[in-house]
Amino acid sequence: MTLWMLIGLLSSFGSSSCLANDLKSVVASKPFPESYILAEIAAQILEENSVRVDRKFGLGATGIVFEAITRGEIVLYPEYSGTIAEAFLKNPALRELGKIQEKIGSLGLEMTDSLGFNNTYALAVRREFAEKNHLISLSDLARIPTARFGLTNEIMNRQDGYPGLARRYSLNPVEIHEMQHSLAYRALERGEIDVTDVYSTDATIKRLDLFVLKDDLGYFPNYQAVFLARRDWITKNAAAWKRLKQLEGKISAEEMVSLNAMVETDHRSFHDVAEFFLKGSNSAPKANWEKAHALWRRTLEHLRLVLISLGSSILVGLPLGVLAFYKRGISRIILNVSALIQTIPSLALLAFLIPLFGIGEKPAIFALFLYGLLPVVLNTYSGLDGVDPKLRESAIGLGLAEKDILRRVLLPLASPSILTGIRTSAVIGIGTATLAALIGAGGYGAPIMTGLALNDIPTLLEGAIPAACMALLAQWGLDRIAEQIIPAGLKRK
Amino acid sequence: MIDIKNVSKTYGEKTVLFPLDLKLAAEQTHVILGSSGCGKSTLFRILMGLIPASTGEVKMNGVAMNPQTQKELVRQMGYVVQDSGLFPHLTGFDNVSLLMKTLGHSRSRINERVEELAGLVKLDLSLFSKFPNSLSGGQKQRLGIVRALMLDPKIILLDEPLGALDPIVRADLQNEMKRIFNTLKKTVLIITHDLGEAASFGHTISLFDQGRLIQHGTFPDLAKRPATPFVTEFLNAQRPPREVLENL
Repeated sequence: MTLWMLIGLLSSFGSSSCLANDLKSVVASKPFPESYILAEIAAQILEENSVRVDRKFGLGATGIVFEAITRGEIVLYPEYSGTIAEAFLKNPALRELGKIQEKIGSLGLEMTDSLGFNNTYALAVRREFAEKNHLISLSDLARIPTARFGLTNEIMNRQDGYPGLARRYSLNPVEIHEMQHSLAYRALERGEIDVTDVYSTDATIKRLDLFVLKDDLGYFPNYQAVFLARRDWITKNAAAWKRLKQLEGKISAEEMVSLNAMVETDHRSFHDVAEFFLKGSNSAPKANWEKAHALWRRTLEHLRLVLISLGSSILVGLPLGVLAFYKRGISRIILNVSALIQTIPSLALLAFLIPLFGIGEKPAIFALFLYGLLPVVLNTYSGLDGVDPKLRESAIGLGLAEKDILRRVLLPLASPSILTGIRTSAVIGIGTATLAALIGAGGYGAPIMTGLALNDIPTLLEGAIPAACMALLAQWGLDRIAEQIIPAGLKRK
Repeated sequence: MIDIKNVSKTYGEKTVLFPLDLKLAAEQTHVILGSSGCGKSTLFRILMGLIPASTGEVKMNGVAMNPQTQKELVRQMGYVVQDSGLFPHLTGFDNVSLLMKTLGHSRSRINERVEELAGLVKLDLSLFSKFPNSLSGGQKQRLGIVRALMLDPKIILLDEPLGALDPIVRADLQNEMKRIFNTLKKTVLIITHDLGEAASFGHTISLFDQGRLIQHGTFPDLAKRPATPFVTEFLNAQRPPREVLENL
């Protein structure tokens, strides 16, 4: 009962923020640099065309973005044709862009033609190795059996990976090693191997000056970069969509590699990189007050996530703990279910909740509420259960009514344990709330996810440090509250 | 008066209290005597309605104990346990006044009652503002007695009230309690395993062994007309104080 009231309350909270979103077009990206850059390029184009944009970048997984765009939580994001065929149309064999474009119409979606590059597996060699051996394509590579291969286990073991590739091109190298990506790059740099597998727009290609061999027989799957958008949004924003479509065929693989390198190697912000791509120059860097403002906004977002979810965990968890204590029959059920919830991986739980709540704050708060439940329930239960049975008997013997025994004797005696539960729940909440960025709920998680995607530690710390500070502050604050609440007689000893 | 009829308690196969009948007169002090595990605490818990009897019934001044009457009957009884059973999170004052507060008695009525009883048990009023863990064993037990007496119950149950105290405090409080009970003219039931206490307090003594009531009578009855050899054995195992022996 309480739970439903709570959900109602949360939804009404959510709907007020949705109202603001209705006026804005939500542009999303997945959590890797290329997706950020393309999404930012799109966002800037839309803004130039007077579309108000809300950026929800770094959403956790294809499944999440899929749910979000089909439900209309987002209107546009960059995707790859192969992924659309696989995840949206459940037909990985579908390769032709035209066919894919046709099929997604039934989902209410539309996509651009290829932006000009294919982000797929590829084999790369050092540039001077290519020049020396006159290599342009994979067919050329087959002529050099002495080339030493160092391939990742991913491509070695994929169905559409190396075994099929070797058959198609009759590759028969004398030397082939299975190794990790970073090690393979190092080995390639030192000349210990000659060939490795890369993603065709990987920034490392530029950093190590590699030459990507052309897949002249078209073996590797087709992952053409496109923009995917909702048809109803396109109808309302035809001009902006038309402008976006002008990007078709305009970004070559080499250009994408350089853009990725600007972000990954030179640590430039994807905002700047997108602007550079569109205008050829950058406006002034962000002022400090702008950064401070962003930090403040994230703090508010994060606090909101934690406070609403923690409050709900307490409101629901405390009565559940009391119920578990009194009704031994169902206590196992209550405790086991709350423990079970805890074992659901956070990203999976968030993904489950999207069909119910969409993306953004609502599912994040609900997930955090669920995660916060166990410590409160368990500590309430064990706190009550741990009260000396003699004191309980003494209270009954005194003739106190059951509600007074609970309120005036058992709960105060259990309060240290209950407060420990709340503190645990709060700290877990502050930590886990950073994952909420994966479903576009903002907070400190946003810079953390961006930092992770870009392998950019300073950006990551912009989220991680405040989150740690908030956890410490919460711990400190709750300790002070505990001092006030825990009866004096229980503290001395 | 307390009327115990055919009361027994079994847990599955195990009988912890064999059927027994006892009539305990009002305004007297009755001792339930026996070693640990003899069933005396079980009897107490049945008397207070904390656990139901397997057979028989208990009547307090004519009212049968059952789940419907339990709260009301318990409020006519004062209950004092070993090491006082005071709530550690409440001050002495809050401990003794808790029940009256929840029953809606006025602050002034409560204060009046506390002052009165503090005088009776000779406990300094300043000690009432302290928490139990900063009081001595004797002080806690006196508070426990005050708490039991707050609603002026007709019956007082004490479970090893002196059990956790050191010998000097113990002797002191024993005399105090005798004086208090004589002043108040209550029906008092005391559980103890201590023969000296039993002899000193009890108008009657009920000696239990392994769940059975062995003998019920005055101390001289037990000493001079033991029902079984066990009674003599129990009495001889614990030498009562000299003055008690001399009064025989």
